[in-house]
Amino acid sequence: MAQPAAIAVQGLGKVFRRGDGLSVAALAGLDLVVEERAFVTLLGPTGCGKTTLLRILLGLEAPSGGSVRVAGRVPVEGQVPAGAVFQQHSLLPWRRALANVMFPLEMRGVRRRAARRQALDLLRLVGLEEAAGAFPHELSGGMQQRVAIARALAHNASILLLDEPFGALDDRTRRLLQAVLLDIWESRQLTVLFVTHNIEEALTLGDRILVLGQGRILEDHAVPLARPRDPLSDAFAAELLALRRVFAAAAEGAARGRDRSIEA
Amino acid sequence: MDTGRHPAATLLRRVGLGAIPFVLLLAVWHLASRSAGTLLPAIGEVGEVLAHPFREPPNLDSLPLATSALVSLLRVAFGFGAALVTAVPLGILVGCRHTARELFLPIVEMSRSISPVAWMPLTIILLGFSSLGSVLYGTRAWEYGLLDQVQLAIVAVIWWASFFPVFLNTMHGVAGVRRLFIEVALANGARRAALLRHVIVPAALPAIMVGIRLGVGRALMVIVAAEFFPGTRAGLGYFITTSHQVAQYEYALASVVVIGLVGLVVNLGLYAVESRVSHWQAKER
Amino acid sequence: MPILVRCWIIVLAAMLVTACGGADQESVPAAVPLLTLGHVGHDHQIALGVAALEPEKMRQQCGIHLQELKPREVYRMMEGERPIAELHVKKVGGGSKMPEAMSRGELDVGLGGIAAILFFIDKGTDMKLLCPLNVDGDMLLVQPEFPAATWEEFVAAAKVSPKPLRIGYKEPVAVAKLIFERACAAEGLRCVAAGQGKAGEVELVNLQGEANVVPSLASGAVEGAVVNEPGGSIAVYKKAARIVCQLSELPPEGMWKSHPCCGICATGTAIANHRAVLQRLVKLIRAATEVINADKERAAELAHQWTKQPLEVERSSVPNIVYTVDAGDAYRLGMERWFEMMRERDTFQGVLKELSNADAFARVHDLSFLRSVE
Ligand SMILES: Nc1ncnc2c1ncn2[C@@H]1O[C@H](COP(=O)(O)OP(=O)(O)OP(=O)(O)O)[C@@H](O)[C@H]1O
Ligand SMILES: [Mg+2]
Repeated sequence: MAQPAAIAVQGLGKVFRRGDGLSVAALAGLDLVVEERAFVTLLGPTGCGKTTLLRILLGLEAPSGGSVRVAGRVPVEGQVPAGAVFQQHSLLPWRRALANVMFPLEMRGVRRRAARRQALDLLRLVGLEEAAGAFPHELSGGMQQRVAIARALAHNASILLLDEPFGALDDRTRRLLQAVLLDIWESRQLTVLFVTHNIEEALTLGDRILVLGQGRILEDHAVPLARPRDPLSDAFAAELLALRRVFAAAAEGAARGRDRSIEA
Repeated sequence: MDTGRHPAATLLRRVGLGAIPFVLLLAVWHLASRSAGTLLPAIGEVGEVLAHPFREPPNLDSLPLATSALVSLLRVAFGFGAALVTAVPLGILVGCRHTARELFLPIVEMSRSISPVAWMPLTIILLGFSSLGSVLYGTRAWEYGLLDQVQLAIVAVIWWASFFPVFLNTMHGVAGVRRLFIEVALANGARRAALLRHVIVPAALPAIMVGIRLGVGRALMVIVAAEFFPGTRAGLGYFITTSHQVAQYEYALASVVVIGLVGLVVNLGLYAVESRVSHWQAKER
Repeated sequence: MPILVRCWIIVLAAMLVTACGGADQESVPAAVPLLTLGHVGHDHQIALGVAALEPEKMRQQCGIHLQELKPREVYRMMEGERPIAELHVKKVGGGSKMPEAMSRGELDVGLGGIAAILFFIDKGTDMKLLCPLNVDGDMLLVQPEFPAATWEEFVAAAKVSPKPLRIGYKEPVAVAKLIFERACAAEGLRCVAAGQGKAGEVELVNLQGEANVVPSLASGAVEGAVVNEPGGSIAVYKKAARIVCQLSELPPEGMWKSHPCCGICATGTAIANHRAVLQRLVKLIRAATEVINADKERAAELAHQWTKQPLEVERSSVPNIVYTVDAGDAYRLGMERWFEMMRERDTFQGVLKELSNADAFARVHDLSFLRSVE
């Protein structure tokens, strides 16, 4: 490994103490290394700790054990050099779409006019140029998510953490944004950690696919497909089938009678 | 409901509906004031007072009605302004910090039910006749227009009246800011110090605005009582108490009308501002 | 937030600009002493109003006059052409407000009710009475249809009434109330406080201020009230009451004749530092009192201008008040009755409590100014 790791996690554990007195081990002994400029997708059943992992990486949650480094440093909230898209709607409701995208730019002290221009470019990138003046409540769920993606890109960090960003989108838009994301990833030489429920999406995007279960990485699957990937090609179909099997086996092994719904 | 109608007709209908209670009120007043032996002034007498806002009232020792209204507004503006600059920062602090809440909540909960008027004796003892004018210009205050009518004791009473609505609403607004907004800001490069300006205040602004509207309302309500203060020569409340004293009730009623109109304008203005800063909250899905 | 703050600043600035609009008067630094004078603003004290409204006349009368700098608020006291003081006149309202402000040191000179002044001197406020302003001027009012036109008829009516007669008073230490209670006692009428559940012919009701006299009579909350002028004349003018009698006529016979009502007092500091000014002030007030007594019709007009009461009210009120600065024997007797009454009621708890009448009189007065101008 010549490159230093963008994200390095070792033996990460996270225990939540819930209001009803029970403790939940969301993560338990998770090891993870994401190389710089890698595109890693994170796949796993609901409730397996994906969001928790991203939150820890962002410094929003303190780990209960283990060590975490993002860009070589222990993550501190507000100082992590990573753009993020949250799983739920996360636009600031009192700001118009454009102002939401401008937020990270303002925080970096970018001049107002330059920030405006950049934000508009990013909105154009996600196909929402006309929505610039709209308030979040005037946008559909998918549109809001796209604005949030534009905002994460405005962060201008070398790492992107995305928590099911395309979950609410139709197929066409999803493909479009996948292409946009890959484009930016390549041109800006980003490191991306991408959470999804969708195996096909994981396969379309990732260099590596990590299967998370029981609070740790169950499978680390390197994708042998070359880019650009054609989902209609035989190689892709074969790979998808193989991956489904891996995933099913992992889920099977992990399931301890818990009800899990996995979109496949 | 009104679709298809001419917009002017709709407007007319709205204004017309709103006018009905006024017409009824005036009619009842007119009839009541005509009954024999009543002390209730006739509409015309009150109208006469209202028609000469810039003249010193012939039967009341007071500055003119318009001046009185201005003086009252100055007192409200300074009292409320003081409440704003104290209650908002304190409300934010107490809303953010648990220890601050534990520190202040007992005294706040104890104090807020005390009527501002209850402090009149104390404020007079502590602040006496001192006014904005006397603070700024000392004994030459009388040369500086109406500033010597802005007595600090009255301002303090107004401050007390409007402090709590602003403070409590700010506190609850700040304490209720969704954690998500803060995390989103942090994940987008906001330092802790920037949170206040970019997340906490804007997110709590609708609540703060409610506090402001209630606070201004209370300030306007309490000004009448607060102006029952020695050394005053003007004010809408002074108009009322003085006219009461000398049984010239038409001045009191004229002043009541002016207070109502001032309240109407101020409230409409505040609603307009509120709908501008708070529109997102109700519509958020 | 920005729009809010901006709006507020604009409104405030606009109002300040309007408020400061008057700041272009001649600004002469006060080379003469500045005295703050508080008054109640009713027609017991129109000597001040006459002095303020009739500078020419005062000048002829006593060589001293008030030059108006700001109507009703700021005057320059002149002796001939020479300014001797600047007077800041403050209307502070009745009751204890004036002496209270004296005790805070916010007034140098005050015109106010004797009872409240004595009460504050007793409490330790450093001030002294310089001279009286008026005596009498208290009266018993009844509702217009009440069947009594004289005190005797009132007493008779109270005795046969199945329920106690409710009589209002403006505040617990009001002169009128004290006199009325004693007079009732002299007639064998028992006065009880409202809500005490004791048997009596007269029930006394605290109306919490002069302002409530007229509405209370009009609504029948009380059958009558004891008030001082101009309260009586206002109630009559408003057709809410009839005057039964002046309280100075009530029994015990002669006891209330010329009972002191309002006076001028000054703080110890003012007396020590501004003797000349206070002497001129007493001289001025004395001359103004003479002007009032010389022509009460004209005095009523001036009272109307000064107090802004309707002219009809002042025409009826001013003749009922005896204006005098005379601190002679009648005044001394009146004051001694005051001391006795307040002692009887345990109102005195401080410096006046243990003093004899003569000592108390000496303690609360500084009549040297009056003597020097008489
Ligand atoms: N603040 C919290 N308090 C208590 N338990 C929590 C908390 N946050 C998460 N958990 C628990 O931790 C586990 C992992 O949650 P997490 O949100 O990371 O799941 P996820 O993998 O993102 O699921 P999904 O795919 O549904 O988003 C869950 O069992 C959840 O109940
Ligand atoms: Mg999740």
